[in-house]
Amino acid sequence: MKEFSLKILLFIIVTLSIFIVIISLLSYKNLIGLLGAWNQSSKMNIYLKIDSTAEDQSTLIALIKKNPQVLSVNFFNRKEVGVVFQNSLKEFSSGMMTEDEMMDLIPETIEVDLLNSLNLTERNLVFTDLANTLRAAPQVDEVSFSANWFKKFELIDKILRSAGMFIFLIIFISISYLIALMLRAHIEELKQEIEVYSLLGATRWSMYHFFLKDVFIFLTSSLLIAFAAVFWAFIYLKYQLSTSILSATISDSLRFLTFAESATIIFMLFIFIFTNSFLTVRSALFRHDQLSYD
Amino acid sequence: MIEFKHVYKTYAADRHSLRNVSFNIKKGEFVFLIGPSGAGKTSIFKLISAFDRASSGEISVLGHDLNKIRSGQIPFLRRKIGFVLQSYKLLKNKTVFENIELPLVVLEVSKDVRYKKTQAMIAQVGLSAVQDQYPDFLSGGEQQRVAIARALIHDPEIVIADEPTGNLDPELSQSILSLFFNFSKTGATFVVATHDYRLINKAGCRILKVEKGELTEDRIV
Repeated sequence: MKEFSLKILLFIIVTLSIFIVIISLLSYKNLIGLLGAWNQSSKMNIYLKIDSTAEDQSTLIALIKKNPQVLSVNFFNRKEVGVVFQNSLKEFSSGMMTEDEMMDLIPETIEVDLLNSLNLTERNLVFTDLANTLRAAPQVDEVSFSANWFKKFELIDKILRSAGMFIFLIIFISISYLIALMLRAHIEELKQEIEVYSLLGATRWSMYHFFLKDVFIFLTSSLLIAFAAVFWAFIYLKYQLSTSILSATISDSLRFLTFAESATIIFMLFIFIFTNSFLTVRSALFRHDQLSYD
Repeated sequence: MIEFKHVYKTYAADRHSLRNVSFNIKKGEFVFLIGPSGAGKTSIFKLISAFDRASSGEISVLGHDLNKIRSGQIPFLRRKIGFVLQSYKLLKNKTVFENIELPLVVLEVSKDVRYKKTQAMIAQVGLSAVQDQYPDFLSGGEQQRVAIARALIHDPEIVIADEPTGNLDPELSQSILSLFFNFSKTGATFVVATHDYRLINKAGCRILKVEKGELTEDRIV
């Protein structure tokens, strides 16, 4: 009964530990995602000359889309923008300026956004390259992006991303090591069983099977439960954030781990802990097999 | 079946556990290995079961030359031997039933056969009432019987019993020896180490006496 309680306790601790590792990876991923969203306010605007044709616009858009770092390209028609602008001014619009005057003020614009995974330095480089290419095009009047703004936040952005990765790695290594140590202690507790099995003629491979089967079941169940718990917590948090207007944007930006990310973390945890357990069983077998008669 | 030829076991330059021990035990023999504590009885058992290797001399057990046996073959040799040790070596987290069926688990015997054989063995050693108990809740005599049942359940060719009655009263000791004698009729070879000479009263038994690592007596009662 005592041993059963200890196994349950060990199971809970291992599951919680894996939960913390997955949560930290998820937090890191979403921190990067949110930083990406914050960067979204810095887009590139390409103002076209007044006489640019629809064909010119399509050529330019095709040229921009060739860049694999580009997430989206939006074209703003001056007439549609003008209508929106006029509507926002409501009854005051007619007294301020004529429609034609307004159209002259608003150029045709292409807005470019980059992938969220890019950090500020990378965004700055991509935008600079794009700007150099586009400025040479005859139909482009002006290209603008927040170069100075980028430079200001570049260092903070780098620190936040590096710190996030560093904290995740520290958590991953220390928790994996902690789990491996707990399982090691559990296997060491099985010293007497190893002796008896050896006495009864169990082969080395059958003993690996006896002792690692437990670790395999233990670890697989813990991983499944921890993943399910993290997923539930994620959905709950996302829902809670979505109910408030202030945090709805954050809720939209939150993403769960992709299949590749989940598979990678499971593989890493599994390999790290299982290898450690295998080596523990191996050394325990080597030590106890020789002396188990007494 | 078990043959020792001029066997020496030395742990340090000046510490000899066995000196020039030679004997031959045939199939179905019932042998008492006697001698005071520290005489070398356990060393002989360790050598027979390949838990240790001789410093010199030749040992052959069930056709295996133990000087040349590969580590991968040792488990298969041990499967043919039943062990009853002084310290019982019962698993505390397993019930009486589970402890007794362990050799069959190791031999990968099917569950149904395991159940039937274990139940029969439990009845034979008189442990039916406590088969679901854990070893810590059993008396010394009951634990000893569990160890004996575990040693016999897989029909071993050799049974090694190291002081099997060491912790038991005379009456229980006799009943356990009777159990051994009954089982030996199946053809198994028994080697029983004891320093309780009163137990050796069965006609036809062979006695090997070890003193200070040397075989000093080999006779039949």
